[in-house]
Amino acid sequence: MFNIAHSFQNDAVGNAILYLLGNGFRIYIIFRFISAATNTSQPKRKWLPIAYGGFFVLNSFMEIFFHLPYLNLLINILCLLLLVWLQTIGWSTRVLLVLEIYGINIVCEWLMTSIFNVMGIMNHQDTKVELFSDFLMVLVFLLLEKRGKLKNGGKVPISSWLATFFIPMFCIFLSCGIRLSDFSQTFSLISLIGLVLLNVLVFGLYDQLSASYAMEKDEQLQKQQQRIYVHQIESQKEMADRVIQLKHDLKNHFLCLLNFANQNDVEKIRNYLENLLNQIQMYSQCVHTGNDVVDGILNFKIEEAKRWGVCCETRLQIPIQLKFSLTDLASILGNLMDNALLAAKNSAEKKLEICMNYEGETLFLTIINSYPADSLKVNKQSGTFFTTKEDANQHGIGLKSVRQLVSQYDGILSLSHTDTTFTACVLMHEPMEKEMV
Amino acid sequence: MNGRRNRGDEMFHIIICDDDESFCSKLEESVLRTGKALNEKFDVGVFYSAEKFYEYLQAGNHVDLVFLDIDFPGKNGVEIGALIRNEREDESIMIVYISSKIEYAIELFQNRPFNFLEKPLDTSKLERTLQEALELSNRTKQKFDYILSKKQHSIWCRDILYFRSEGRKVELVNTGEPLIFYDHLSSIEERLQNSDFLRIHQSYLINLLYVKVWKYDWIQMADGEWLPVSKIHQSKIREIHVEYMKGKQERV
Repeated sequence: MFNIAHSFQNDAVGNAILYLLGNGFRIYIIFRFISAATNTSQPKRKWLPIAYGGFFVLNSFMEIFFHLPYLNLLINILCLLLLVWLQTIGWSTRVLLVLEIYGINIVCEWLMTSIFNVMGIMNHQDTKVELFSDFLMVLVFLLLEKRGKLKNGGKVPISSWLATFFIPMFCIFLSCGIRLSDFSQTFSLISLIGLVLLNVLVFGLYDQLSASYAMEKDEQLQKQQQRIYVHQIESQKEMADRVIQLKHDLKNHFLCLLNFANQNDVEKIRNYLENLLNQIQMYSQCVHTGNDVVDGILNFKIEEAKRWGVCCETRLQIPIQLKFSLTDLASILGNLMDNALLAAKNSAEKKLEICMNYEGETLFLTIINSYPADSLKVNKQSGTFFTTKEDANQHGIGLKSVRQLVSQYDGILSLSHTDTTFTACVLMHEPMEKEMV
Repeated sequence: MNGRRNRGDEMFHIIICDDDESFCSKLEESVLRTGKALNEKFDVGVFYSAEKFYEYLQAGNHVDLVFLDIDFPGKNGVEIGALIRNEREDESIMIVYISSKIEYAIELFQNRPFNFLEKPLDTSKLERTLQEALELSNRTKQKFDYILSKKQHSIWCRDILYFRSEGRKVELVNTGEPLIFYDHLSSIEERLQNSDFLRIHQSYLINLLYVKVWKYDWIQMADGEWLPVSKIHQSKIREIHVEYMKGKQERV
């Protein structure tokens, strides 16, 4: 076994190939890590391939021809700084990111080296240690991503994630196996190269999967917005229908009253008019702020609430014109009202309160609803709320999209609850007018 | 600034300004009744025309709070509000708009109204509004002391818009001429801890009551000046903003 290891090390070409491959893989992991951690929409894109390519060439050249650990460390850190510098993020984040990447890199390398030293497989100068540490880096990276530390695309379900996780893990295991067994050096080399390629491919697949999940999420969001539009149109149609109905009714009412008048029956006329007044009072309970989106959605939802026996209270002090995009406002209000209504109609108290205020070009919206005792699950650690909605696909999408929309206006969605009521608050700033920018 | 005399007296001066005479007398009665219940001295005056009310202000009379109807023949509530804020530069008078419908024009909000009341009158809402107005008025009846040319002076907190620090000097921007004296913003912040002042930047300490436009990274004060919100304070200030709006929503 020692013989094989020895001859392997002498094989300079094989070593160089393996090193180049490993280095390329490591830079790919770093690239992924940086782009996932910063989630930048417009980095200085045209420089990116050149920068990463340069990093690879410089790093490989220095390692193969000089092999000075401290020089390598310096170049590594400088290159990382340059790569992170190309991302449009704050200074503190940049430094943190470099430290994080290099920290993980060093820890993985150190860990692998010491494991191998303990097992006595090879001395720590061996370049193949880096290969193993790269597999370990992939693992750490995946763990970080799963913990939600990195904001990358859509959420991949746990099963796919586990599959991606186990591949590098078994690669470490397999590599150890290959080193320990009596395979010929060519076979070992090919196997190790194969393992690296396998990891790259799996990573690529994982990225594709993540992107497709992100796309699906976008589609769901769009559908939600469409749904709200349809709601609004329906509500307007309902209003129009009611006006026609009212006209028709009015004619009948007058005929009826005329009939009573002809009979000189004042008492009947009085009763009839009182009855009509009561009916009108019931109709006038609808919201009328003059803002079409707010009126449309609230009236539609309040109508629905009434059908479920939910008691609604509104306190609205907003201007007729608001500078938010109509779809955004409709989506935010519609989603929050949907959630509130769903909880309120299943609760014992059946209460819903909607407050909207406007001050200093800022909109403040509060929706308070009662909820059934067993329906709310709070994740204490992250402070997020889960609804126990039956439709698993819709799970949490509503609040997530509200949060995203609100953040577009530098705003915030805050949720809180007592034993019986759930409160959602939205604060968002009106966008600046063009001439002011 | 004409509205500053009589500040020291204990009376809370309220004006009702509406062309609907029966509503005026009903509101006046409710206000006086609430004053009695709260054990506060209210001085209530009634105007049936917005122009007459404005003349009264121009004559130098102090008003703490006005119930101002929106729909007037002639000059309406929006215009009078704008005159008070822009022409008279009176930022401290509280304007409570009264309307029979809850359709509000954007211009109303630019006059920084204290609240809105709908017709027919909801007495419990009126009580809440008056209570909040009194609380605010008492809170701002604090005095701020500063030393200028080795002499101690003082100014009502409600007259202060914001402090701007430049080196060792502090500029106090108020409803009158700005005052400049030597002090540290942090020490001023400490002295004003229980009031509505908020540090938004190393160089700015603002009075929340006089925010005209509130953005995430900028705040415009009632005098039209845009002040920056420093990056490290932004998210914390947004939380304070949420709490401030929440408190306001619960009370009025």
